[in-house]
Amino acid sequence: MRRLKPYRRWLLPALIALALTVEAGCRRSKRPRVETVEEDQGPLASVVVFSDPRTSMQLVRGFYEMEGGAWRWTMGKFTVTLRPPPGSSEKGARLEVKLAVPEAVIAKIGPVSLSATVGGLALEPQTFSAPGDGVYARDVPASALGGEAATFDFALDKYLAAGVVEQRELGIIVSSVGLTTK
Amino acid sequence: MRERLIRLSGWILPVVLCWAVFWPGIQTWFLRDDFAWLGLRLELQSWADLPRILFEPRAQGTIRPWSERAFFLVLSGIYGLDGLPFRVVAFLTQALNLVLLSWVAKRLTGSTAAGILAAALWGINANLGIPMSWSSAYNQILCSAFLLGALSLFIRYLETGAATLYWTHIAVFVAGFGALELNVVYPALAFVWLAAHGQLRARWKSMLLPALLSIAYVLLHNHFAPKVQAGLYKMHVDSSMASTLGRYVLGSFGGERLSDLNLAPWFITMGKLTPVAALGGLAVALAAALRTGRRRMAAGPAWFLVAISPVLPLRDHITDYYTMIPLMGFAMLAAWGLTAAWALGGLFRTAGVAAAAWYAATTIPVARSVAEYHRDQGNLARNLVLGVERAAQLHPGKIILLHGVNTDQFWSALNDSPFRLLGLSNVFLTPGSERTIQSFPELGSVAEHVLEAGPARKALEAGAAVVYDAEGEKLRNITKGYAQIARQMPDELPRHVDAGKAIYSDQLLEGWKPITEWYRWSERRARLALRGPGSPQERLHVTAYCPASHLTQGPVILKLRVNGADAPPFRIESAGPATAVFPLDARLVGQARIEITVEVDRTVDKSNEDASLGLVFGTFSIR
Repeated sequence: MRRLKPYRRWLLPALIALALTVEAGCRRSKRPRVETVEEDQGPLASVVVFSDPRTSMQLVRGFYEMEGGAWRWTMGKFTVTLRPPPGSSEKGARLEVKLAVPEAVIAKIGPVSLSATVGGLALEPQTFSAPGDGVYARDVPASALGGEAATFDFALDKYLAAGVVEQRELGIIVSSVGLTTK
Repeated sequence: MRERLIRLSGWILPVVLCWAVFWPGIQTWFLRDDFAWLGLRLELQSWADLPRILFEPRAQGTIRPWSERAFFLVLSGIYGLDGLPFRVVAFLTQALNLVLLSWVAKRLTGSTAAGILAAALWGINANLGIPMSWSSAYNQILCSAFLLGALSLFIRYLETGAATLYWTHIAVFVAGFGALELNVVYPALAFVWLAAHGQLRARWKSMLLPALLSIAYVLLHNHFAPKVQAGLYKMHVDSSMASTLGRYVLGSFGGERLSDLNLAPWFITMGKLTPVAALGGLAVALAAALRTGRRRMAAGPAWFLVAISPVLPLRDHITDYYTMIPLMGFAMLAAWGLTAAWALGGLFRTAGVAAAAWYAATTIPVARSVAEYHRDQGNLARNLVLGVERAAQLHPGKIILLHGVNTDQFWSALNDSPFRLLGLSNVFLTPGSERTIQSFPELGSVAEHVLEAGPARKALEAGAAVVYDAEGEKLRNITKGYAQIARQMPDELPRHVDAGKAIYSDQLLEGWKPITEWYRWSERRARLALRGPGSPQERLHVTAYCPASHLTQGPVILKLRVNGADAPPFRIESAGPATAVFPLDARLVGQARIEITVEVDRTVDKSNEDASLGLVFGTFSIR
């Protein structure tokens, strides 16, 4: 029979190392503070350009995270709140959505129509039959732009349901939504 | 001295390689389940709570007192929300595993070089990525230590005959049950070892006690832990086990996942071929071993099969890191094969070096990317959680709304309610967030974290809430702008009530006690109001907690009435959290307000407590 090795000689150094580690932990200064940005962001924007993170809060719902620093996928329905530009409560304004309909969408579900409502008023839909960039542009009457903000609810007649291409429900790609004075 | 240094550096080499590959993993903060385990500290009110916290079945009925409960309880007790000590302990335990595997492999192969190589091959495998970079997967690392420790002691016992070693090995083996259920395979691994060394007939009795202990553990575990009846963790003991085994075998080498990385196409093709090449190499090594009379090397594949067998019935939960312990078997056979090829020289040596280089070149990028992914997700989680802590310091007492939280952020950081660890109960997502965050019903409900439009609008109008945009690296205060947006939102009653949060107090009509920490007692009967369901498919989900003292007279019956109509009663038969789901009448769809009455058949039966206490309630949610 062979003699056992004296394992006990490691016990004391191990215990000392453990005690030092615990002691160092107890003395460790508080975890580093993670600062927030507390700037005053001012009023809402009339034009939301997606590359500007300061206006992303106006994308109320139905948008996924920004991609390529400039655009976002939408869901089948999406909502944006905009500040009516000066004078629009008298003359109305022009709504413009800069978008792209990817080839994958057209190939799977064919042409898609985009419509919008603001304050209960429906704006005429527009159909996008070919893949590529496009603009959804409509006049918005002054009656819909009386308040400090106007919320536009957009809807696509067709979209890629979750699980068809990705796990996400996918509509179109949008890079800006804005109201400009007529 | 020089010889000793060379020997020492041989032991250290696998550790250095493993640590170098997975180094980003040491920087990972907390993620996902970590926050649930960190919350154990909040449950520890007195020493009397400790046995329950350590041994109560949780998370799919698991009982892992050392690798999850004590690991998080002790380290968070000393270091709080500092992630580094958790990772240091994981890395140090893995270093011990590598040294032990070197030693065991040396005993199996009879070669020091093969022992070191086995540890190195195992230590860089991509499937170790999650345990090496996520604290909740520490159970794999600690279980490896117990299994290797017990086996090493058993081997020494076989060599020396020292009874102390035998009983120490039994103690280590039994302790291993506190790390992971997989420890149950130890007697089978030891039988494999005895069979490989031709000692089965002479020494099988020494394995009788461990085998009986494993059987006893299985019986006890099945008795105390609730059986999973559905979902990802349901066991399927059927023919699907063969295909699950196939998937685990083919997914053992990491290279097949190179296609997830942005690499040259030829390299990705090489990665896809890795499983075939590696299995071919292992087959050649086994054939060579058997042909040269080294039957004991069959222990390598046998080890893999034995150690993977407990997870084969989990057909719907195939997870890379379940192969961590089984892979030691492949590593030992591969190491022997490579050292044998080296010894033969010439073409064999070249082929061996090429095979090792192929494996390393394809598995390391995947391993590294897994560790980097977890580190980056941890950073996102830290910025979000500690950013909210800072926001709460800047705006004390206010509700905090988070806007722009994405799917990754939610499931990595928010689902397990990290803010309760900071003493913050009023942190919510902005209305509508649940629509863009991908749903995983088996993991939790996004909707329960969202403050609906009505209360969000009211809180902002009253100046009682602040809103932060969570899209950037730092949280950005967007309260002013968001308040303008909220004024456009409908002033609707929510479909969700969290009884433990003050923001929902207006919806709790009568029969409710004041909030206690994160929950609220009802009286025997209590009423609340919700908005009606949006569709006939929606149900009312109620979460409650039933103290053990409440069940002394048998099950508690929870009755529910919705707008005066009775729903089927729900029996609460066991202490702890309970979730009840009630169908709703189609006529309630679209109603602006419905009233719900909850009633239990008796109040708590304790003379020293408030005799009017009904049940502890968490949430009422229509979804």
